[in-house]
Amino acid sequence: MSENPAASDELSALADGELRRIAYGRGHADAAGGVTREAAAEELARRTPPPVAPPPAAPHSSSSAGSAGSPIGPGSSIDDELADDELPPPFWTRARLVGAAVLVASIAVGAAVGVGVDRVADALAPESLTVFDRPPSEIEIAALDGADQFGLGFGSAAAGIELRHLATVDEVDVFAQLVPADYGTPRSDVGDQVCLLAMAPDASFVSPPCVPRAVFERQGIGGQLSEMDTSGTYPLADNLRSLSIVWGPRGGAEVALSVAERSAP
Amino acid sequence: MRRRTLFAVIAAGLTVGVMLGVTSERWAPPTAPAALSIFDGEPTDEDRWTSTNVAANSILATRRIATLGDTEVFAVRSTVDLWSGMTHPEGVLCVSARSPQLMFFSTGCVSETVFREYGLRGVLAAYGQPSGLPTWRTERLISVVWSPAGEVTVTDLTDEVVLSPEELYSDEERAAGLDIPFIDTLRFTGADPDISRFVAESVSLAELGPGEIGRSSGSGVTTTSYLSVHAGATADAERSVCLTVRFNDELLPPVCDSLATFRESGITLQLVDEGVTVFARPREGVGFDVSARGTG
Repeated sequence: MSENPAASDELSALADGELRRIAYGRGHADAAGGVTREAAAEELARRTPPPVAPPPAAPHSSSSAGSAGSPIGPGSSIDDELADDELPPPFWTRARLVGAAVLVASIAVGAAVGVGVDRVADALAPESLTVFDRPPSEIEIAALDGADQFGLGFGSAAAGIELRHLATVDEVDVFAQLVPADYGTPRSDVGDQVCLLAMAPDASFVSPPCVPRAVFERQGIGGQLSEMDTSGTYPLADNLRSLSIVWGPRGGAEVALSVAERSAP
Repeated sequence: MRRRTLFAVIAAGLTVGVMLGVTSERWAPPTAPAALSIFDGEPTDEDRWTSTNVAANSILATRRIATLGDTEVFAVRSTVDLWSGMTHPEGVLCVSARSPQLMFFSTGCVSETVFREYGLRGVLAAYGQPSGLPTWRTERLISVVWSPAGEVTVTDLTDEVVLSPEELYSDEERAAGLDIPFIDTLRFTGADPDISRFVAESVSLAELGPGEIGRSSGSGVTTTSYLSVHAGATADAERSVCLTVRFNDELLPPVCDSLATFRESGITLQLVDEGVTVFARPREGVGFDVSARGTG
């Protein structure tokens, strides 16, 4: 709707691309010899037919129908121009799609490497029984004396029993013991044994069964260290602790605390 | 995409991936306890296992999960730890076994929460009990790994792990009777000074003991038994074993026999006038018999 005939001719002479540059370009309030942004936009709008709803697809229409005759079918040049040049570019550009694919692939590769590293680290972790290679600390010596005195676990350093600290959970110290085959009567016909022991102030715990050292070296040891109810009353105390432990054959111990949920009588 | 951006994306992806992979065991949700689905449905006759150590109503469910020769291995869901006897009303999972002529001890038990993450690893040890009492010689040793996914691995480690008596004791130790638990015990109990003097005056200075091996009371009788080992007269002579009994408050003279006889049948002290027989037998233990009391 330009009122200037000369300008109108000029508009008509301009190609679509030039019109778009004037209408939507940056820094050109009045460019191209007096053709304004508004005039260029109006001319573009005039040249562009209004969108028409696509006809319903024939049940057996051939795939070439759109490209062969329909001016607005998929694959038409107008459609391409709309998609490429005039509509805002889609978020998932090719570059972004490539980036996302690379990111996902990198995470997958990284996760596989991470799992592998974790497995290898587990496999290469030092053998759990190397904890007995170092000299006992003062705490461990005292704990062994305590075990001997109170009949917990196996006591007496004189008998060759070794005790080492594994973990402390909720003020409960968890120890590992290596009991030689010739400790006790009769001697252990399964050789040296690996045992677990829990000690805490004012509490005693029942240990899981010991395992022969030969078995520990194959599959480690696991079980529960259950707090004994020493109240002498019934029903049993409702806050007894239980430590679940898994240890060996490589690496450190995993200890988890739970509180027993005792049902009312 | 610019090369620098691409490298940054790859680096970020690898970093996140490695962190996820390394910590996967921590954040991964516990696997579905497929292993516990074996408790679904009704048990067959082959699934039934009973315990002689815990109340029947403590056993919630049992299923046979493996067989190894004549040994059947069972998964047990229980409110009592079959090893320790501790009660766990919330329920625990254990593994036990049975075999003709053998007495099996169950594995320790684990909570269901622990089982979901780690499964159960344990050892099943079996002892013979030819005369009703366990021999405490390991006749069978089976390792068990029961994974949360339901895989069960049982391995008979008896031949690999269990030591024969010859391996457990040297010839010298066997000659000294240390393979007999009663005598081996004397290494730890030490010698009672008063009994030592009494036995030394009656027999000879003891090589081991005399140490207390048992006390019994009942039917108006109280006995305390002491055992001692004495070297032979010569270096080649066989050792002798002596049983000294304090009968109520009276210390009776030692009764001795050869180590070989003691190993085979133990020592018996008959108090004819009292109608009491005191015995110390390697397989059956120490005690007394008053069945003849008052009938003579």
